[in-house]
Amino acid sequence: MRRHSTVRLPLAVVSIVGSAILAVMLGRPEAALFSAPWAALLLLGLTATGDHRLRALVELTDDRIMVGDDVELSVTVHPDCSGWVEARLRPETTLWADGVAGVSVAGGGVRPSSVSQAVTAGRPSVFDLSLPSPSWGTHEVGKVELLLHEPYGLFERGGLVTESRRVRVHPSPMDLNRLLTPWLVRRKTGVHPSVAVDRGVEFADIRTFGSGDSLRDINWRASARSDRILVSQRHPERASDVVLLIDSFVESGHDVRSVVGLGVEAAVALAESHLALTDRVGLVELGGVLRWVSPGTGRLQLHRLTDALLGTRLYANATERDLNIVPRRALPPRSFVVALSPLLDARFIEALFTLRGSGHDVAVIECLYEPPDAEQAIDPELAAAAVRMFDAERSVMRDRLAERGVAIGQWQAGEHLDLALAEVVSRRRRSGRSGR
Amino acid sequence: MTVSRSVSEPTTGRPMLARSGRAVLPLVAIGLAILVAIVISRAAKGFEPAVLRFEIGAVFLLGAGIAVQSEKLVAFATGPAIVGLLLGILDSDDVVWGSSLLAGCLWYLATEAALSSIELGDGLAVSASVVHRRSFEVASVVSLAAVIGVVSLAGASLAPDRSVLVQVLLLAFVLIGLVIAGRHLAATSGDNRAEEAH
Repeated sequence: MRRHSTVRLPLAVVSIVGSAILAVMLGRPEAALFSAPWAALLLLGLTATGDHRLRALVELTDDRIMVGDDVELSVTVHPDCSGWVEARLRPETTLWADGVAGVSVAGGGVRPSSVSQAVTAGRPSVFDLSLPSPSWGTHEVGKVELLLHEPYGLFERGGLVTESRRVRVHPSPMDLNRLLTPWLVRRKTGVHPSVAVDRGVEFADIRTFGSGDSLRDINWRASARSDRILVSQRHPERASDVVLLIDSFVESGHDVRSVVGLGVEAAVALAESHLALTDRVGLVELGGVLRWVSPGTGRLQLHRLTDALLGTRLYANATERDLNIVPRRALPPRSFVVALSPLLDARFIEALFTLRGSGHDVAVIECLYEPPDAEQAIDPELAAAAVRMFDAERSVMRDRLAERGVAIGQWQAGEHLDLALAEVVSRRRRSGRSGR
Repeated sequence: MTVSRSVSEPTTGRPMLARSGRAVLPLVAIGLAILVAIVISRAAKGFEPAVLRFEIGAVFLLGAGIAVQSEKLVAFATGPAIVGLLLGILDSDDVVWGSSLLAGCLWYLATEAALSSIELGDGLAVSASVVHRRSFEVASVVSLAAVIGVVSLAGASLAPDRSVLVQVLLLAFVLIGLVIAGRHLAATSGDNRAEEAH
């Protein structure tokens, strides 16, 4: 920590010397008493000064928060002299809503991101700092500027504590009332009805009683109407492999941050819901980088997926790799791929066709972006014509995907995801492919 | 590691100095500076207009320093304050130890209030403990200044006022004190350089 004198020190010296010299020159020694307080300040301040140290420890109150929550840190300071300390938190990322110290919140209270407090030598003091909520993602916080004001204010000792802490900001939770039912399931017990016939809950068919059938399966009502004993057959509930495919291509000329943010929000909600149904959920990110998380179950898998989603970054260059290098364990055969994308990048659309062609069950949640306003263009008529042509091309692209059995549901910011999921379910039902 | 919190500083519910409290500091600084001008100008006789001009200039510089949050400007205000005092003293036939000391203490309080209003600026949440500590320090300085004043008065009573002996003693006292302070600063700045090298 760097030590420097405040303006009080030169002011005191100049006052004392100046008034003393003037008093002697003018023969009026009482004039020197004007600087008596400065002499007292110098005397007290210099006797209290010394080689003082300040140690600090930065801790996050909670390293996982939701969007809308404030990031709270506590800074524990260990001084070896008395005085007062100013602790100021420096937000190091441009994703903060407001990086200025002290933000007014609803209710009139001010949350401090800079606090001053008196400290006593040898006794630790705790400073509580907070920053306004950033957007979703993983952020590095914790750079704290400390300024120790030594006794009587002649000297200050300042420095930067660079212990950074990582805080994960989760998107706002979404409760889904509707889920996508995969067409292809695994053999493991789950909640999705299978096309097979075995023990289960959902009614499938009736057949004649045969050897080995359980008495519990006898359908007494149907048997009473016929002259033989009939048993009910049911569809077993099976689990599925769900792979969330995130589009992080940025060369599309739109507000990438908000559109990818929609995709991340939807992915977190879908992951939570499907994991709760004992499905295995995995993740593949295709765009600036190609990353994957192999499907798994349980709370730990939810944390892995969430951390991977929150770590989604936007890169100016796109990867040259495609899905071929993704290992089988990350993209299992017959898995249900849910793609979250604005469907603007041809490479991502091509990947969807490839997945469908290789036998995966594919559905798309199209994250809608805000198109540029044609009225603001230099030539509004030309811009309007370009927009119509662009919309027509996209309509053709959607039809091509629908022909291959890929259902698309459109989701706009501000709407609940259930609307998009309902649209996908409806299209999948109409496409004629049964889930059984 | 167990961290024990200061008993006098609860972690939550710590009283903070409200913004309205901090807004008082600039007003106190200006008020005290005006009081200094009044004290000095009342001690002067023939030079009263000139004294008043210098003191008003000092008040103006102090106020400007607070307004633009400049500590240097606040420090510069001491210059015209001292000059105004000297003009006032020159004009007086009596020995004005009391007025000098009073004006000096009031000007010190005004400067401290101005500098504190800049240090505890906007956006900084200030705890009441800081206010208590600073108040204690300022009170200590003023008390010691009063002691210095009494000692000086006692010393001057041993010799005729304005004698050469008093002046030489004064100058010697100041010079010795500055040498000691300088040596102490040099020693601590050496520690500072060693720390930077690390």
